[in-house]
Amino acid sequence: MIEFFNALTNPDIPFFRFAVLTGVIASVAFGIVGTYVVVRRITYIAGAIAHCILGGIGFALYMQNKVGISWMTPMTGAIASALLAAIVIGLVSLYWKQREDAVISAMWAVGMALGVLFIQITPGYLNPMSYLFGDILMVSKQDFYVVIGLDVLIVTLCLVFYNKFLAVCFDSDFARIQGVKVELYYMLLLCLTALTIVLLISVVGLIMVIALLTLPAAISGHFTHRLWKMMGLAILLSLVFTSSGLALSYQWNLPSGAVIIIIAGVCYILTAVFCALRRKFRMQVETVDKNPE
Amino acid sequence: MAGNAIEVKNVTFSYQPGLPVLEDVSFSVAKNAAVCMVGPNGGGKSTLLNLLLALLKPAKGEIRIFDNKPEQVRTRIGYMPQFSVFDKEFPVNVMDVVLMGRLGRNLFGRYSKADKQAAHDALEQVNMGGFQTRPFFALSGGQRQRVLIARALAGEPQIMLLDEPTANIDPMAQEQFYETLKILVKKMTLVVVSHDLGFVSDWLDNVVCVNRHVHVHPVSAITGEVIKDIYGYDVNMIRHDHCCIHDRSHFND
Repeated sequence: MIEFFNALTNPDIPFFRFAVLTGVIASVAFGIVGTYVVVRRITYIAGAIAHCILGGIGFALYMQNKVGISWMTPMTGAIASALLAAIVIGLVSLYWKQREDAVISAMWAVGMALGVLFIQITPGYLNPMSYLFGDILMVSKQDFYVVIGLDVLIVTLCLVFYNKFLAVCFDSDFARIQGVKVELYYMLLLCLTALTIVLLISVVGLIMVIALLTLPAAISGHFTHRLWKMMGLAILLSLVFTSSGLALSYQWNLPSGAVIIIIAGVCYILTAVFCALRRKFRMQVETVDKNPE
Repeated sequence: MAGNAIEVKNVTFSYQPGLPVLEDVSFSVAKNAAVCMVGPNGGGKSTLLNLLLALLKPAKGEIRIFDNKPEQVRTRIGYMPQFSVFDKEFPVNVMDVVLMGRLGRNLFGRYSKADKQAAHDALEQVNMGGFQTRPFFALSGGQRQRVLIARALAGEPQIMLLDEPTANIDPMAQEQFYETLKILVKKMTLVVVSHDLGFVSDWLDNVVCVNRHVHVHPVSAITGEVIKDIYGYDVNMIRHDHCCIHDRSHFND
């Protein structure tokens, strides 16, 4: 643990500070958007968006290295493809009532396939592993500012429209009767989810995105009955998961994304078991109360 | 006719071409009247309700609510959906739910003091004043229904549409629920949807029978002890005042 704090203050390894700060700042967006994704039950859609992003990253790398468009960074490609995927999947899930899951699965796989192809035909050696499994230590100073910008945007929109998102997620017909443009807010929520996934990819990589997006919110859902409390606890949990994961991976020289996810997963299983036992215990107490003999 | 709350003229609706759920439906509900919509499952009750709420649009015909298009007067309509539409794990408390009835009043959906007061008053009205901070899904079925009424009331509606409000609650809670509904009679137009033909109470003005076609029957009280014996509580008969011989689609045919 001391090594971790030494590394944080060591001026020779600024990338480590960036990594930890990125995790901390992005956790706010993870907690808030993750909670919406969990309560609205759209983790599957979030998964599809995440995998489509590889297509965007691959395309950007190809454009940058082969065609020579320098502003086409993997981050630009990721943001553009995430938003595009969110809009297309959103339209499919709103208006393609039959077999929407099949369409979404197809996009999931095609996005991924495009990414693999583009990375293959891009000249030079490229390792897709860091996008697939994340490498928070590779976050550049420029990426770091993009992460801060996205984070501020996501958090502001989520807070400003909190009541509208709550109503749309809870009872969309009622919200519509109240004059809320339900489809618009649903699409906005998917776009915010897409941007959050871009942040997550720099922390844990796109394969494990869903875990860090949903596990903190799912755990906090066990303990609270208000949406904003669930968000608060989820923010705290994802902060703990990312920073403890980084510390442990630094200590033992392990892949950071995987360590973060394993910590989150173990915590989820433990709390799920704890809550199941607690419920069982309470039910027993109630039966004893009702039948004192 | 002017002065009607709801005016439905020659409305036809179908989800699939050639299979109309509602066919050439015309009826009206007077201002501050209380009606019950009954009919078999799949008869078109929910479809009709969704048409009144402008969640669906009629293929043919016209719907006027207070002489306006339904989508223009939505905020004057209080709506209570079937309970089954909710996700039972959603993290909301009673106040969160009731405040949604005030959502349409502000661009960003922020709630003012007046909104909170209105939500508070609505809860008092349905005798749920002490439950503001309770988790919504920890309530009993009857309590939840009353909270959903309060949500609709918080918007200060002039028409109240209730979709199967007594489904999934026990007879005791149903009785309490109808007591709650009674306070709204004559203050606003009430439309209660029910698949339960037997439960037509004495404060209702009309029964709207929906089964692809619509027929409106006036309710008149019957004093027979016999019916009370059969049902175990007060039930009124529907008297068929108009001729039903020609309508082959009417139920029980």
